[in-house]
Amino acid sequence: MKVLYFWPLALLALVPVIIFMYLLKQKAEKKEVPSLFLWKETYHNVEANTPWEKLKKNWLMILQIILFLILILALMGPYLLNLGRSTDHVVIVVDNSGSMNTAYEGEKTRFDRAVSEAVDYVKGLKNGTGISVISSSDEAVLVVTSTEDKDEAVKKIKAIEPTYKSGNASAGVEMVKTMQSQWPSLTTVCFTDSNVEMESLNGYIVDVYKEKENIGINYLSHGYSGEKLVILAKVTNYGKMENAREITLYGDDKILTSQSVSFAPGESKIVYFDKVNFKGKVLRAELNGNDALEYDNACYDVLSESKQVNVLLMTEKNAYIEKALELMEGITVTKSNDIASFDSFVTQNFDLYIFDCMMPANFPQQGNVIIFDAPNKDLYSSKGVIDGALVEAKEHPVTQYIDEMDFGAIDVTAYVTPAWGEPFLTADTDEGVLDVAFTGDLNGQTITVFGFDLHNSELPLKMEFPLLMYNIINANVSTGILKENVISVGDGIQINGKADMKLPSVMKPDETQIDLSDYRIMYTGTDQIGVYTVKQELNSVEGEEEVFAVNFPSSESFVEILASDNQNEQTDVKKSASADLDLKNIIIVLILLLLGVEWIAYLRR
Amino acid sequence: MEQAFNSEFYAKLRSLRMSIALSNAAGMSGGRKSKAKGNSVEFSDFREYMLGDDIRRIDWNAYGRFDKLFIKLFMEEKEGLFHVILDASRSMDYGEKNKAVAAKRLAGALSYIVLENGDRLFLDIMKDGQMEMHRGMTGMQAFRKSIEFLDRIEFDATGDFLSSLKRGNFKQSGMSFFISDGYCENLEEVFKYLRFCHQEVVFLHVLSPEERDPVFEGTVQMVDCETGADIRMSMSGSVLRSYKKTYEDFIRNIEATCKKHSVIYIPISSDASVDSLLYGSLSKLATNN
Repeated sequence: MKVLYFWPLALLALVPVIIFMYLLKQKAEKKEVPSLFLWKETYHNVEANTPWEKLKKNWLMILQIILFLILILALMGPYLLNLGRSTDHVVIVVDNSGSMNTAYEGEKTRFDRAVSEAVDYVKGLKNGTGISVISSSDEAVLVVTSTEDKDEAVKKIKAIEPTYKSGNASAGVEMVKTMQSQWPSLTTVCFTDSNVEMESLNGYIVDVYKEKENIGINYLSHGYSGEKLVILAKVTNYGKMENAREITLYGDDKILTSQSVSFAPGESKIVYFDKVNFKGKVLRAELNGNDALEYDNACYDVLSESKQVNVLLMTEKNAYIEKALELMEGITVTKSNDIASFDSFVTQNFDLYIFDCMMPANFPQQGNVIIFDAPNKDLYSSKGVIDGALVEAKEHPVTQYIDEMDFGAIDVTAYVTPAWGEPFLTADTDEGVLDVAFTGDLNGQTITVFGFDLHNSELPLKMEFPLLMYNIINANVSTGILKENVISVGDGIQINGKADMKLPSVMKPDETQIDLSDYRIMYTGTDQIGVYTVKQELNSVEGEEEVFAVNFPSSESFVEILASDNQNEQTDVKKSASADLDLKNIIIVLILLLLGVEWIAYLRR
Repeated sequence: MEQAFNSEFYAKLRSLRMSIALSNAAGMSGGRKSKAKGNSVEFSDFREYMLGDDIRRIDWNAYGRFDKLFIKLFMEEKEGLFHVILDASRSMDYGEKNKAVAAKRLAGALSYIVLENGDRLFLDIMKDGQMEMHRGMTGMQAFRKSIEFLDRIEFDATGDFLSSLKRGNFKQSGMSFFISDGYCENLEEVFKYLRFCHQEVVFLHVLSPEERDPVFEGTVQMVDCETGADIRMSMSGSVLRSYKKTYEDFIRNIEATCKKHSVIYIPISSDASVDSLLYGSLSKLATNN
């Protein structure tokens, strides 16, 4: 037999207290009797049985001391070795997903319970057992592999941090399956609050789920009614009791309004906030008061500034341009080859018009324009057509990072760059360097003109082509850095930095700044709940800034399938990792029996 | 303390008729047969005439038949002498149903029976080794006096029965009713002394239910109400069982002692009703008759 803790031995110091209390308890009551004639004889008879009688007289005290000693033993967490724990290799999977942050008992969360159970389990393992530890949420992390050092395993288990991510122990179990080939006889113990299918794995689930009252905000959304906001929040009562809570709406951390709402058990309600006057960026709804899971009591929404860009592509057929546009986020492309009906398209007010080898009769008066190899006498004039030319990039914002590029092209039109334009591609000919592409602002319209058909050039084959297109379109329209502004913890968010600015950086809710390594990146470091700021500087003064919010995943507010619902007969579900060999329960039963004996003895006295 | 001689007591007493057997009456002329020959109408024996005999008692018919002078002897009838000896020690004043009350009632009832039978009654109260006596009473008119005397008794003395009895007046044979709780080392000496004084002894042993089945819990400091001596004991089931055994031995010993000295033993419980006292307990005397 081994014990988990030695600190309860300190309680032995209390044994004299029990004896002292018995001495106090023996204060004699004075009673008058007619004569001590008979009592004297009784006294002698009782005394004659000493010391047995003396012992009998105090046997209740002795019983209580024994009870106390057994209680200390129970607190020491005794267990028997080699009772089901004899295995060569053990994999411990600790679920650290968002739902594990739910309260289990008192201040302790399910995660705390899982860690303490896992630690107890490891301490109870036979020396020499290989121990691997995996933390599991949306992804599994191998914390330690096959260590025989129980202290190290305990240290690593204690170092696992709870996350706010969605998921459960399934990712961990999948990882264990891959390990099974290495250690065929391994035992898997999953410490989780939800069901996990262990299938062929030998082991069991330690269920740390405990029914608690919880209300959470599932999502927060907004719309416009004129200039004012209409905000809705979906709130669900996951508990089994009716509950009334106040929902407060904050705009950029200032209270906007609040509502009191009551919920029946299991009820979901949409809470509306009408005609909210707010011009800031971040909305936050918050449930007042406490419940089992605090992180789903607040939910963020961001009033997005980025807009969808509508592009009209007029072309007979140009897969190159289409592909280039497809790669860009936030762009909706409308394609047509019917230049005659262009006037009807214009009424839709596109943000960008691309004319590929065609030109409408009436040039659009609004929106930016990109023209490939099409004349327009009103706007620019040509110098003539070059049969074949080596086109080179010229230093210009749209050719940033690709100004070393060159490519061949045939039937290239050289232009006289108008006053409002700046050339960015040139062709070195016998007649000198001629401008073959330019861009510039004219009456609020950005107009970019290419002097060649893409099909007649090597440009689409160049690796710089997408970047050039991206730069040009970015110069023509603003798609914003972020495509979406509200995600859940652990989700990735696409950051589309502008190539003409410095590399973007992300400021997390705890104000740590992450400098990104690329302009376009799927940022996945969304491990905190709150508002993240993405910044991109042009220079020390100018720059752009957008925010996105990360919410607690609503799927983690409650556990859909409990471990106790496990239908697989092979998967054992326990409430404690050491239940089958823990002597604590046996000792507690023993204590209760002894208490019963003491009670009967007390009554018989 | 409850009133010993209440209306219920008197009501029951009125219907109490009992003759107590007494083998040897030795008092003044009375209604009981005696060993002495005397002037009653009851024939006893014949003997030859001796000089000095009253010639009026010569049986002339016998002289005619046997030609010898015979004297006819007749029974002498005398009154019985009854002592009611009451233990007035402090230990008697105990119990929710007080032993002293039961003892007084017994003494009162016995007084009634004795006086009603035309015998002579002596009330002897044992106190601190002394004997407080009421002079012999006869006739029902003395009953009131006896009750008044009994009513005045205070149970506040210590018990030294033998010293008290030695101060008593037991010159003539008779019957003694000894009423006590029997807490005395030398009870056998007491009986021996009374028997020595030609007394037929009836021991009315009065005890309370609390003495029979004490209800004590925890550690108790028991104080002797007579002497003030104390014993400290932790009450447990085994201690109470041991007491019960001691109590039973105590009763058995007394019964054996009584039997040994031809003492009639009548146990009395202080919680017995007046009915039970008069008709139940004292009826043993009549049965004996």
